[in-house]
Amino acid sequence: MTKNLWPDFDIGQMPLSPKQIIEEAGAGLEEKTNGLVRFSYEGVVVQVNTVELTYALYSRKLQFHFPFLQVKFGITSHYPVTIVADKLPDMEAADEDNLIESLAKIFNAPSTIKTVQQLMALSKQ
Amino acid sequence: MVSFGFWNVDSLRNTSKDEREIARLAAELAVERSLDILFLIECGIPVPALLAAFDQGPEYHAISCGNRFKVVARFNPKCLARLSLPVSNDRFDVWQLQLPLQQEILVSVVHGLDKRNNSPEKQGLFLQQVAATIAYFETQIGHDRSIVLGDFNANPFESSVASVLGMNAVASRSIASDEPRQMFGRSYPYFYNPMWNLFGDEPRGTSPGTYYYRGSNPHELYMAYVRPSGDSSVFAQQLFFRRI
Repeated sequence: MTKNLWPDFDIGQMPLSPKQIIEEAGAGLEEKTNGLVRFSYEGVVVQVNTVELTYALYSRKLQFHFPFLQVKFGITSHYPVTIVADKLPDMEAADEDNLIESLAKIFNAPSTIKTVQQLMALSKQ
Repeated sequence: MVSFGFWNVDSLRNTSKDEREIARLAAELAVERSLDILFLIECGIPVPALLAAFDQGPEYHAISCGNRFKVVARFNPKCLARLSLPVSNDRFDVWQLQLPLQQEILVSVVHGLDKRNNSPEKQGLFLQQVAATIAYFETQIGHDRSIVLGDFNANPFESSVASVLGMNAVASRSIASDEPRQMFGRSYPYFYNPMWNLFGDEPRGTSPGTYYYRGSNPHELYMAYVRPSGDSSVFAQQLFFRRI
């Protein structure tokens, strides 16, 4: 048998993509709302050199996806990431730390808290 | 058949200095066009002052709405019930219109985010929320006879209006009548946007809206969208958009 000419691969060395970071950061919402509201990936639109991802706040009980966040970044060079969030000024993250910082601001903004609470209240009815 | 009128009167700011006779003009518009419902956007005129101008012709009643809007109708206000949005937003209102001997419809009014202070993505995100909320109510109520009108602050060809990253409103009635657009494993029902007719050679006076002209750049920002099902297309012929 021919020897495997491929090298060993280690994806652990690769930096996380903005998509992975956002989804990891957003996943905690379900736990914080006792399963009533989930941070949901809605889809991607690929332009020439950029991708645009949409995320929603999703209530399974209501079957309602509330579009909440859009992020745009380059296909080859991920940063800067442009972040557009509901009722908040647009933000631009220069690197991974900056992206996490921006997401924390968005998730903790009073307008976001109000939106999640409204969806929770409706989902409980 | 119900006649709708819509007008962005731009009177939320500087109300003390505003000398325009908006209430009188609104009343004249309603009477002249035999409107059943008149929606006023960015209207800071108190309801009593507005209704006082409707002292000629048929009796109009105030309809419950958000602070950004004023709505008057010439039928029992109980026939136009305001729905509570799942996520509150002062730029958007939805009513359930139930008139005797007519099919029930959902009517929505939108004041889109302006271009001066918002990115195209932010405008699109807001219109996605509008489309998602209407789809939610359609599922709850059990029909999709919806009409959406308003000042979208976006042209029919812009992404925030035409794509699923927005209203998903298309120019063709046949496309809109087809199966919903499938993307990302989800279904996105179309709206039909009759305002595209204004870009062509629709005879003057029959189109369902107007365009806003300032300087050399015409924009079609005031639009109406209808779901293609049922008789909703006829409603599109009954819309009027005006601005001083």
